[in-house]
Amino acid sequence: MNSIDSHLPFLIMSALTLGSALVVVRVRNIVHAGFWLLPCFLGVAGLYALLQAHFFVVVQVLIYVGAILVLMLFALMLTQDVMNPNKPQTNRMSLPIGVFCIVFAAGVAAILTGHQWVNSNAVILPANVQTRQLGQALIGEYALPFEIASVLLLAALVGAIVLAKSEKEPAPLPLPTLAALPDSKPE
Amino acid sequence: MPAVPTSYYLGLSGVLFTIGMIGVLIKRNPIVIFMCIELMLNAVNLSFIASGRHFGHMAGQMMVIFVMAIAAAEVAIGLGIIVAIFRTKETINIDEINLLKY
Amino acid sequence: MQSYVPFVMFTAIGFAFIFVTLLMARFVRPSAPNPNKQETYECGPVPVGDAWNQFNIHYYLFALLFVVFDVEAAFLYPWAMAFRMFGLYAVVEMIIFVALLGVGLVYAWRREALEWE
Repeated sequence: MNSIDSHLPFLIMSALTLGSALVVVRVRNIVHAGFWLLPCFLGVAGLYALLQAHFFVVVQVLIYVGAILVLMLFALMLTQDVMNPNKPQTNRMSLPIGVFCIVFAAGVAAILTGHQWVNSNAVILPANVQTRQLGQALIGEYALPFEIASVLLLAALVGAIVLAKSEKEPAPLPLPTLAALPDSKPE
Repeated sequence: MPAVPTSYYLGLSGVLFTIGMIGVLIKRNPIVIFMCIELMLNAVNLSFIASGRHFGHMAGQMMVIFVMAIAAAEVAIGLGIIVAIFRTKETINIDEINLLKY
Repeated sequence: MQSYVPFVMFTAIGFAFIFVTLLMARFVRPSAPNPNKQETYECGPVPVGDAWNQFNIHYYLFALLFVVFDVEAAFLYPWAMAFRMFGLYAVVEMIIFVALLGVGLVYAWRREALEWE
């Protein structure tokens, strides 16, 4: 079978991902950059589908597209008139950064081409079995990271509320006591 | 249908990571820097899932679910900090924010 | 891979529908360009200022809560596929997980992050 033909879905998805990622980095208007993240995340979801990781297709759309992107767009709205698109969007270090990134990419390419690739003989399990195995690992082997993730999310939630509501003194906690209720205001 | 080799996915992940890294290093707006960090995290997730499929092991997918949880926490806190800085200093230009304490 | 064929077809038909409809409208409609038609319509009055407004911080707080509980949902799904094999241990584990995030929700409630002023 022609290899270009069978690789067509992969090529389409990688073109979508890389193309929109480049637009995110290049575009001057930050709101446009935010919206161009959408095709990029969807392209990565498509690549997960090609990799038969069906659960992660859903999670990618749910978390990255549904939640993180929305949070970023809200943050863009909150920081009003953040950056005039006519002002320079980049700092003055373009040349060293460019050289560094080219060296980095060359290093990655050297590692990838230097390695002897063998074809994978791993069996790809059906989606429901894969997700069940993931759940088993989460409950059994990864129980501690699982609970720590919960603590991390709690810390993030509390911290972000403190940061976002910092302009006011925290309201005194309304603790209704039984004694204060009946005779506080006689009418 | 012959599967796409794992090395293609890893190469794609490397390119996406480099694009994100360029954005992180070169941009002035911290929200755009966060977007580029998300690109880098997506690239790493992609390489985790590709490697997990290559070796037929659960650990790759397990890492991705934790990376996503941490990414959500990081975005929530990071953007909260940016919003707080904007409200006290009226700017979020990364070159003008040089004080830890104000 | 076959299971994505209906999804791809649905997406393609969805996009085609938009373009075909707009194209058909282009052939049928009369064309009378007028600068007044190009102005922003805002319930009749002339729009003042920019569309870049400072938005209420509460949008951010709601999105934040949504993100955290979205991630929780992503953890719940594989757990729900597998918890029968572990019995009570798995249930207790998930109760701890949900309770910790519940503490966050109670905190948000107490700090009046859920109120809309």
